[in-house]
Amino acid sequence: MNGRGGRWLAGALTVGIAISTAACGGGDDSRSSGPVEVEYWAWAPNTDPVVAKFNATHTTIKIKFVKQADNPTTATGLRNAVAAGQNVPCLVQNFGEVPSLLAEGLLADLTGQLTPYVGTKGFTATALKGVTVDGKYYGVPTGASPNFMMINRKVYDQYGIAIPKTWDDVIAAGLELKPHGVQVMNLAGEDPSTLVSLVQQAGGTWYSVEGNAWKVGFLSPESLKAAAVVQKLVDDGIVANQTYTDRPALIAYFDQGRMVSLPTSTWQLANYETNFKKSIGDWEPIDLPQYADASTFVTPAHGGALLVPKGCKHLAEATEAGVWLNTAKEAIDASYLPATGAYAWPGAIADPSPWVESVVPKNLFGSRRPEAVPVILKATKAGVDPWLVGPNYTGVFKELQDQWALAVTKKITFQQLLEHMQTYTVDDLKAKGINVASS
Amino acid sequence: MNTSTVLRAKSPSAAPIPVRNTSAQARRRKALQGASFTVPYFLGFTLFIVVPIVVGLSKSLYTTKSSGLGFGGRTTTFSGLDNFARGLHDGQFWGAMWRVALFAVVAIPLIQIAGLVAALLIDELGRRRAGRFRVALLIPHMIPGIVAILIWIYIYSPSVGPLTPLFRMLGLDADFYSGGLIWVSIGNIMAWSAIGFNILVVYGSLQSIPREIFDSARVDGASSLRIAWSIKVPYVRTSLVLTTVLSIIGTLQIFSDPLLFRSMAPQTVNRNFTPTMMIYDQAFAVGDLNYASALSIILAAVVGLVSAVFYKLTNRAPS
Repeated sequence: MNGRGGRWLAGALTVGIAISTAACGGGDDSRSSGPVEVEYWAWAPNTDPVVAKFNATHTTIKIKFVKQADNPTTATGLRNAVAAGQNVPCLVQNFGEVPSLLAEGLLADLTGQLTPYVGTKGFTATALKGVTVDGKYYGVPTGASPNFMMINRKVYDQYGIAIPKTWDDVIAAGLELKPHGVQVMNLAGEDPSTLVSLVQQAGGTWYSVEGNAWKVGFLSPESLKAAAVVQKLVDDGIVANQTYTDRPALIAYFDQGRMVSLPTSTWQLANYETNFKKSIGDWEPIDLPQYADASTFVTPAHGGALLVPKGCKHLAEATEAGVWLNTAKEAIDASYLPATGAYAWPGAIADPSPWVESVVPKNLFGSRRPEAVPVILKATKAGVDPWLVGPNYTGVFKELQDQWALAVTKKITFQQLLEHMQTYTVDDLKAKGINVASS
Repeated sequence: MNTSTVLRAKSPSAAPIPVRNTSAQARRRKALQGASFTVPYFLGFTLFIVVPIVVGLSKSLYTTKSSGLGFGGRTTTFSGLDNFARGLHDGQFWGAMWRVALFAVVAIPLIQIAGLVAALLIDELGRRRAGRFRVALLIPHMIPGIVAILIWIYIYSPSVGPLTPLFRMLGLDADFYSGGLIWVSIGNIMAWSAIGFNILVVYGSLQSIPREIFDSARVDGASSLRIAWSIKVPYVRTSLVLTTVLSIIGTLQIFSDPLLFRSMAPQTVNRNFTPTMMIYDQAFAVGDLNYASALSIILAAVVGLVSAVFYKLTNRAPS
């Protein structure tokens, strides 16, 4: 009995010690010979086949794909890995804005590694802008997906309303639809992206660099112009405030024909195709409405990045793999997702035309399906990216969400929102010890 | 049941007792063997409770600053109790604290009373029927919090949920996400998942009351209601104190309910709606881990203080 007890004691202690050493350990699996292994974290559904294709066509670099649960888990995991300085992945799906992540100390400077590809791999200027901070590159450009609008044409026709070409037209349509209990657009209370897009479309940005300081421009003419549009939509009571969290409710609402215009992008179409029951076939893809005084047709196309974290041991290989994932024809071909019949949107390259057809669902647009490809290609060509965010944008965006919620429910005006955001952002930058240019 | 009592009653006189004649050393080894079973617990406790507290405490004493455009390295300097001073004067933090405190003052007693009443009613049933109720009532408690909230978000939904048409049939136009009803909606979820647990604890201690007391009370002519009020309730007092303290701790730290409700009613549920939401926001959106640590410690101190005061006030022996 005593002997057995002693063994148990020893066993318990061994387990304890093993746990604590395992927690402190953590291996470094870089090898001196053979292909360089680049670890890739992503949660996107069609990553496996692309990685498999890469590994099948490359001998000196191998991608080790580590599937992530979702955006927040990836963010937490990367923050921990970079803070610990070990087991840092070399490629990570984007979960924020490059300047904010850079300010957090999460990103590696890729200027030297990416520059050779800039002229040769067909990255668009807007895509490159998304990874550029102060003249240096931080991340591999992934570009943006094209922005356009889809309208419930059946309802528009039913009430004899013209297809909107400008935001003023949208407001006019809203006023005509209102007596019939139909809302022209949806502004979700938690999602200020409509305002952000409108500022971008006006050619504005809330942050810009002036020497060694940030200039904060929430009250710039472009910003005020954007605010005037949303203010009108809200004041006239012609928009809904359905949340994205209650997905079934949102889709049902869109489907019922009570909300008839949706700014959208290629990646959302499959979802509507699958979930719309009543209104399937009634929708029409149209060009994104413009400002009435716009001289050229533009769509907001703020580019994203495939992140290369600080602490990655193989920057050159990571860049090479990242560039291949975002520009190679084979990579895009491999991203085919049978469930939706679509390829991942190749946002970084100038000519996405070989894959555009695939992202247009079969039934959503009914007989107007052929209109989709030209609309999408036009939106892609017209993409502009005047947008730059500052190092504190993550917190600023949260504040913006709070303010947006108050503004769309008419508790404050959008002018007040912008004034508050200006003060908040300047104060927050200063509190962090960051230079702010006096405006 | 019967046989085991008989056996236990017999054993002291019948069997020889080997423990008595072993040496002190052997006894110590025996004690150590017993204690060794707690090693995994203490390892976990150290790793997941003590270490984070120490790290949090040390973080809260520093301030991190950037410079220039904010992209260079950040400098961390010792700032003493500055973060605590800032936290103690932070109107938003204390606003959140009062908001949750007010909610707790209303919700916790209601949930406790409902749990107690349900436990008393179940106690009145026979054992077999009580078991069935117990399981049914405990099911909500077994559902993970986030899942429960997502279920309720659907149930509350003004567009697709079943409640809105139901209330409309009764002539009521209830918007569960409006500023006026949001705490009622959150409180209802809390009650739904907590009551089963409370019933279990209270019912457990009701079962341990010697049944003879009830018999003598009945002989004295006491009604069931009188027995419940004068015998059962005083007996389960400690259990009630326990469930209440747990509720206080849980409520003041409320996080996932309002976090998910934020998208349903963002004009009401802002980023600093509850203390824990504000701490989370400071740590992961604003990126100020130092201040978030200080706020966490202030929150822990407040929760500890409130629980201690409540415990002190309620856990006196009945006079």
